[in-house]
Amino acid sequence: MRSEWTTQRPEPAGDGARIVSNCLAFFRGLRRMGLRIGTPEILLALEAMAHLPLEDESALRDGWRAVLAHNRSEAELFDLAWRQFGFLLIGIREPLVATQTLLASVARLRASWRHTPQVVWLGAGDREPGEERNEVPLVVRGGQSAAEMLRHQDAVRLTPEEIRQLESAVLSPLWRRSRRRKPARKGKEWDGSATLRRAVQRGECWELARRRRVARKRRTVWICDVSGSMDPYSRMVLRFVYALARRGIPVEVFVCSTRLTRVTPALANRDADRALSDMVSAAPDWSGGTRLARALQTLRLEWGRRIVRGAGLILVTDGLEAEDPGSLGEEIQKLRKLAAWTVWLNPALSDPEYRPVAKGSAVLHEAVDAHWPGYSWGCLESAWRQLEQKENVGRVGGRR
Amino acid sequence: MRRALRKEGYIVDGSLATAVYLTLALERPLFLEGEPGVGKTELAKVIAAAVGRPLIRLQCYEGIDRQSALYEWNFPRQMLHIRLAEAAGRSGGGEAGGEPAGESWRDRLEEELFSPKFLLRRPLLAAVDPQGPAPVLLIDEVDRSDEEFEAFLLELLAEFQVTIPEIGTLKAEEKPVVVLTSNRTREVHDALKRRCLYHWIDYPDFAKEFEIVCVKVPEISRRLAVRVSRFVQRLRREPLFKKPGIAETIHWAQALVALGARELDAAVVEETLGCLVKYRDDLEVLTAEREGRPYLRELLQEIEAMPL
Repeated sequence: MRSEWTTQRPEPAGDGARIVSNCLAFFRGLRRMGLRIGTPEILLALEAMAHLPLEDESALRDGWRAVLAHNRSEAELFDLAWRQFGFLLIGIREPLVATQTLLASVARLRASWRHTPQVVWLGAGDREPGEERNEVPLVVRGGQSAAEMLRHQDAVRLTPEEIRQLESAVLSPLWRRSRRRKPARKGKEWDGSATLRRAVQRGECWELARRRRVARKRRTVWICDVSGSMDPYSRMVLRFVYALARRGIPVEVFVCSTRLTRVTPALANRDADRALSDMVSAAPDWSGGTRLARALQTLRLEWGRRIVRGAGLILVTDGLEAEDPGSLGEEIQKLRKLAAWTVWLNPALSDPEYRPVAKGSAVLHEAVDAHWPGYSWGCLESAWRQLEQKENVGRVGGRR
Repeated sequence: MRRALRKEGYIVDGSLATAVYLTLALERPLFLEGEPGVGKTELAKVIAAAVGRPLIRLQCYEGIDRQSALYEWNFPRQMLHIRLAEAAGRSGGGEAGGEPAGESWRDRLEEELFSPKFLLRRPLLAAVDPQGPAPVLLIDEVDRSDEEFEAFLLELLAEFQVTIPEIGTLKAEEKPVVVLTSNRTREVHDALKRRCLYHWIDYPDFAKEFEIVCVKVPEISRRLAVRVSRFVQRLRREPLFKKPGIAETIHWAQALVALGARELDAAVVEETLGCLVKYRDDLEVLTAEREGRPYLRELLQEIEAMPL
């Protein structure tokens, strides 16, 4: 950094240059912590410094925080970095990097410990594209192709490798009507202002301009039960959600067993396996017990107004509430007021004899808008198709 | 800066004062985020009063667009104008006669139609092209608008100029002070935040809240103010759907004063709880009994037991 600075400005390096290069080092540190700081921000921060009293440390800190941090968590990171940088300048060195990497490696070890050993599936699945292209898909008993059979197989009988093969599904977003309007030839509403503007160009002959409502993607909020009894299913569901997210469909994912964890950030990962293992390691209580009512309450209080409002709510659970089946119904009712609709996908419905008679399931069955099976990949797909049809907002144009 | 804001009855801590100062010094928009009722909108009003400029407020909502934010042609009036001109033209047409006269008449009418007379000036245009000094522009609850409007704001906040095809480009001679607020019902795009100074307004601590109550409700006794602030502070630790903000505290204190309450007892609190808690579920949480005892009474006892 020093050399960069001197190449930019060849004047003799005095105290001023040292201050600036210290500042730049600090900004680089922030950037490494994940704050998005570009040259404009750096220039602005230095400009702000000129307006602030340098002898007052807290004023400079507050000012820079206002310039450099762009949300609440970044502001917290900034404070941390500022303290650390202060120590660094005074000369107290804490082995921050060492602890960080140690923690990171511990976390990674824990994640890998949770990784189940993978069995590579050697059946007649999707072949490599180069070889045997002319071959007809292998038909097995029942007249289904291998991929088709996997699709309807109960997730308990699938290996992670097989679930991976299922990911090539065609999924399209759900839509909702926005309040925004845009000009359209076949719109239902008359756009008076635009009509007149057009009339100025055309003169004598007027043409009515129209506008219509815009359709927008509806966000879905997935709450995936990852308690012990749900373990084989939850991995498949998370893969399904990942597949949705990869196709640009807005989703939010929470996993819950004894408590609720938001794992949406992991979806940004480009590698599906990495995303899944991140999600697993983000939840401290994977394969624990079920406290669904408590988890839903947390969802409503912490995220209700920000994420759930207007979104579609999808619960994936077997409904075996361990703690408090009574308040489960109440919580669902409260969430239903916020969400556009609430759907329960239940893996236990794989058994045709199953009836929601356990207290938790009975309450849940009463409270939700729809109760569909969710034990196989095919179930999830067909549930998604049904939701698509439910939210039919018209096919002609206007989609964003 | 702190003193200037305090004079207007707004109490700030150091970091917010610094952010406001930099907003004025660097001429950058200020982006305020925080829970509802912590005084984001109020701050903009107070800044306007402190620097002695008019306040222009734009309330955002889903689907807000150019017509309602920037400018719109007053087309009913334009129509009326055309009809009037037609009527006038017909009555006077006999004498003028001939095609060339008709042409010029039409040109003149067009010019008249799209003159500033027929322009409805919405808040953003009013801020860029003010009739007086540069105003304080408050863009309230940006999180309610949609992405398209955010993108539109980006351009406006960077250049402070507006192009109206029929009239031309208007540029702000003096940059207005811009304050954006967000309740964080969704994350606002980074590109917008990057152009602004950011500040998160948190719920105040006890000392600050006490001070605010004393300033805003001067008739209140010190003793009651202490209890009111303590009760609200305690209430924020409860699992409520909507925690009470400062606005609610002030509202409540005013209600208590109006009722002539001297002490916080369970009956008074229960009567006035509607000022603090706005959701039925939250009311139920507070008025319900826990372990056989009324919970509200217990909270009050806890507050009384605290040393002064």
